[in-house]
Amino acid sequence: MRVRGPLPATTLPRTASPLRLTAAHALDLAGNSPLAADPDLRTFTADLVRRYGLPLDEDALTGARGQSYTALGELVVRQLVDPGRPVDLLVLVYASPDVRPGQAVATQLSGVCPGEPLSFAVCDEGVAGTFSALAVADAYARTGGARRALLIVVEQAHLHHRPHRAARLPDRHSAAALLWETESGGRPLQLLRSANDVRSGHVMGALHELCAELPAGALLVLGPGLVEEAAPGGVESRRARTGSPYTGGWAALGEALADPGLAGRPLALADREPETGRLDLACWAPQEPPE
Amino acid sequence: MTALEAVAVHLPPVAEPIELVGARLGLTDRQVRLFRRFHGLDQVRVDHDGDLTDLLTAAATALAPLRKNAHRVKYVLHARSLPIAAPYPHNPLHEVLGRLGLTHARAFTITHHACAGSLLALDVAGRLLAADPDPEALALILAGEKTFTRDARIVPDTALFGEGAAACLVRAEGEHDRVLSYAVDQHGEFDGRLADDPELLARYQRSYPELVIAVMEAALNEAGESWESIRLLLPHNVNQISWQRICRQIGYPPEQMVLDNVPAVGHSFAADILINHHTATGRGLLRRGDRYLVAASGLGATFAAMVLQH
Repeated sequence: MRVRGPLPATTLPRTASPLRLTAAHALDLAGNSPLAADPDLRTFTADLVRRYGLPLDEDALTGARGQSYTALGELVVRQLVDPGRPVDLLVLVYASPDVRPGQAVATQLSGVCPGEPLSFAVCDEGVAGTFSALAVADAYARTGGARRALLIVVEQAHLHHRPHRAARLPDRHSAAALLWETESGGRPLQLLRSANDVRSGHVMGALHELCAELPAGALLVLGPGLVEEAAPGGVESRRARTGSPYTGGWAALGEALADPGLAGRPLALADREPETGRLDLACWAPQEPPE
Repeated sequence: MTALEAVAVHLPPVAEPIELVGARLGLTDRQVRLFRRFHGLDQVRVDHDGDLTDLLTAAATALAPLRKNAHRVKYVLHARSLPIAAPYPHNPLHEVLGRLGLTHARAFTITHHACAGSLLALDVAGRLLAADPDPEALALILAGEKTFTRDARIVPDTALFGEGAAACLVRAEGEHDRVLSYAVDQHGEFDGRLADDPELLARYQRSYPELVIAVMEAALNEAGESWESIRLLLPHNVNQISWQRICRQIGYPPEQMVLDNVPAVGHSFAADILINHHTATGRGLLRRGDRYLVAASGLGATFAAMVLQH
């Protein structure tokens, strides 16, 4: 059980975030979950789409295609979290639906994650959801709610209805997880900025404006939502794979984090959710040695 | 500390008797009688024409202070029971933002705490606001869902869902209603389809009272309160009998509990505690300074309670 009293007064002036990115892990999971063959998936999806007048995707349903967010989440928890360093907060992020759409996956994950953290899910914000989860974790850390936080973003490749318009879907089942600690070491979260309602044709200008705040020498990862945009000048950048629209940026960030050649440089990630036009940028300071 | 600036409610105009709901669900006459006589249910509010966007927009529109404070709203959180509520990439929450002129706000759904999700949303909103450099920033919490599938219409032998909705403006600091404590207890071992798993349902029902009481008492202890100092209990609207039994067990006067909406509205997912808060303040059941307790549980399972000061 997690219990807290009154929250402290607003923290003014704003000090640096206590969150430090200490580890990241990304993985793909091949094949389909047995849950994709559960007849309840057809029933739920049929009920879900009825009001919207959308057809079912019979190929996906009869082919029992899709992966479970519980399976993806459990894998990254087991591979990233050290039982000796328990987690206080677990935030699961998704945009497209789980193959078992009614399951409280985050609650399940709390049961397998060292520390039995407070856990919940954030969704309905596309790729911006992970940046929101980061803001939430930062807020918990600032208000005494978490010393160690785990953010997990998941995506699976199949819808079981035919969407009303083109929808961003991954080409594989993937998870990316980021471990945050407040004590020492890792990369302090230095910057979290966003711009809303950034429409096509204005993305480059908005991105350039946000990137003006990046520290010198930063390496910028451009997320899949920026695939059609030119890289901003004046900052070295690399691109995430576009086939993983929701985990791709964070997986690429994890790769950069693991590269010892980049330890002395700030790392940044920018991505844009095309559905809402929200553009987000986060930046982490160079790696600090543990005290 | 986190304060509820204003709470508003939208109840769909149609009140369906539970006999009609039961017939649609294929319940036996005995099952329906059980809901009416034993659980204290009578009718559920539904809107057969509107969708989730309409429902949430109506709740937010009923929140009068929102109009002149829309520019201060920095976060919008939909506290939702069901992990999926619309066919991807439909996004009712962001459609609501467009209708309300709130596209500047960061907006997301908070889920996987099921019907205890509005307490979590208050905690998340409170922390986001406490950490925000703008002391005037506000968060808007929306709650309310559509009963579009069987699992969103009934908890077997326990509750029938309705489509009541609520909206709440939250700020980092305020005179009322201030959040004094929050306790939450998650039990993933109860996750599953209760309708298909009688053994799981039985285990959940056996454990339920003890876990609800434990989380409420944890919230009381953290706030430095006791049952004697709590003016009012605002529970979720799952049914009347379970809360009456809990009151007997803890020795809390049942007349100090708001259960009016169980027969009148139905179990409106995570919106219940806000709907009951609106009822309590509308009926003048709370005086300035009164401490009260809100409590909810969600399938999956999550148990949560919060002590507030009016």
